[in-house]
Amino acid sequence: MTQMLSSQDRCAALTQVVGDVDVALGLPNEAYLSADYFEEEKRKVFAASWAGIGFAKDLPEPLWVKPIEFLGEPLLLARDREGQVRVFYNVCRHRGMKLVFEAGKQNVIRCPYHSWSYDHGGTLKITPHAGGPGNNICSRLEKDVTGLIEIRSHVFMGVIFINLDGKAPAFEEANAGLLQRWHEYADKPLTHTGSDSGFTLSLDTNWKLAVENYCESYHLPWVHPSLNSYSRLEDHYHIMQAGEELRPGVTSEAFAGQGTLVYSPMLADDGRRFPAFDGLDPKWDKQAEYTALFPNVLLGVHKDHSFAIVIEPKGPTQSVEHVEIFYAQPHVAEAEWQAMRDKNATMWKQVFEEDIFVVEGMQKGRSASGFDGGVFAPAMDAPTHVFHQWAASKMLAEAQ
Amino acid sequence: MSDKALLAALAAGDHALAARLYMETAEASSGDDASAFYATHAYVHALQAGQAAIEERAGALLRRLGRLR
Repeated sequence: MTQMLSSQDRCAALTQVVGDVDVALGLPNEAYLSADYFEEEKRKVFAASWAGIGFAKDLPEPLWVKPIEFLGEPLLLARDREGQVRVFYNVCRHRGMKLVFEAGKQNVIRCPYHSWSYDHGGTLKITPHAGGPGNNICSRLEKDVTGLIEIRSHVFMGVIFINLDGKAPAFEEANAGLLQRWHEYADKPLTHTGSDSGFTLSLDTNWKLAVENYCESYHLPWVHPSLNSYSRLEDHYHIMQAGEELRPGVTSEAFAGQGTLVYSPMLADDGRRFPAFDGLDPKWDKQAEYTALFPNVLLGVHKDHSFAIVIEPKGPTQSVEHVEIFYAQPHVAEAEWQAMRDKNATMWKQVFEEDIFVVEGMQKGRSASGFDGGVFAPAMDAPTHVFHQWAASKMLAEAQ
Repeated sequence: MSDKALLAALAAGDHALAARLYMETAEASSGDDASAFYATHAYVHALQAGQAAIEERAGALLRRLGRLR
């Protein structure tokens, strides 16, 4: 039974979430079950933040386009002639026809209805016959329509982020804390080696449970016993940072996750290792970190590869995880590294698949009407609570 | 321009050929309206095919006729 709270009760429940971890409760059941709550999240959580929607590697060269849907919105990813990734609404400015139906390289973005044509920067190139047969000049259009509707976008660690409502601080400001923490990784070129380095997982769970599970290491020895051989619970540490006021009116986002001091899995029998990123501090020889960039991107960094998971919310109880692995050096794409790449991808897939049982199990648990959101074990669950606080605060915020 | 050749080019998604056929017709047409009509189609198909030379020719013709900025 989906539990709908009155606005007063919802406010009270969310206020309990943002309290100190010692006394806070988790988000109420409604946050995981209700279609109305999910609709409100679209606006208050996703549109108001920098949300992950895809990967820059899917636009391998200039003039590539890829249509996607995100939270029901038809979007168009494009790489312009200069190589910059752009994101537009995938809709013609004329009659609202969807513009692009298949991914690929195309010289122009032409509407299949009346052939209004746009370049990959979104600029209108021609509105055929708009001024009458053979006349492509229409003063009304020249005044009011110059091109596609562009959405603010930013590429970070291979992920394309958008800010749908256009009101969030610049990406670099919104994520200043993580950019500072991972400054050694932020601008490194990444190598994606193709389909052997990506996979998707469909989950019968609310998107937030995938984020929550990712934030903490408490579950590792129970859910991921294979990690115990090289990365035990006591080798892990919390990553937690609250949002900070950068200047009046501009606050960075919180982020959370966990790290390990002993990441060093053996992927080859002969002891060979993937080559590392250039210029890393020696601490990264054994250290690895995993943080959730709220709302829906999960990132992991190691000295020799990174990965990104974009969680696509499909509804209150369904999500899809899009997982892509990136390597530090281009020559890892060569055939001699294939076996190690396969083993690495298989290892990560196994880890993430092991999480499915628990995130789907927590989803099922949210149907227990007597469940109150749950309590946090402060020593172990504090990063998860940071996410709860963030998500509750977004929902409590008054519409601007 | 043969209708048959044009329809075959369009059915095959051969925008380069469609652009060329429309451009030839535009340049062979005697009236401004007919020239502009065909040049408009040549321009659009040239954009799709990445045929810069025809795009330029069609654009120049349309601008001379006052049909494109």
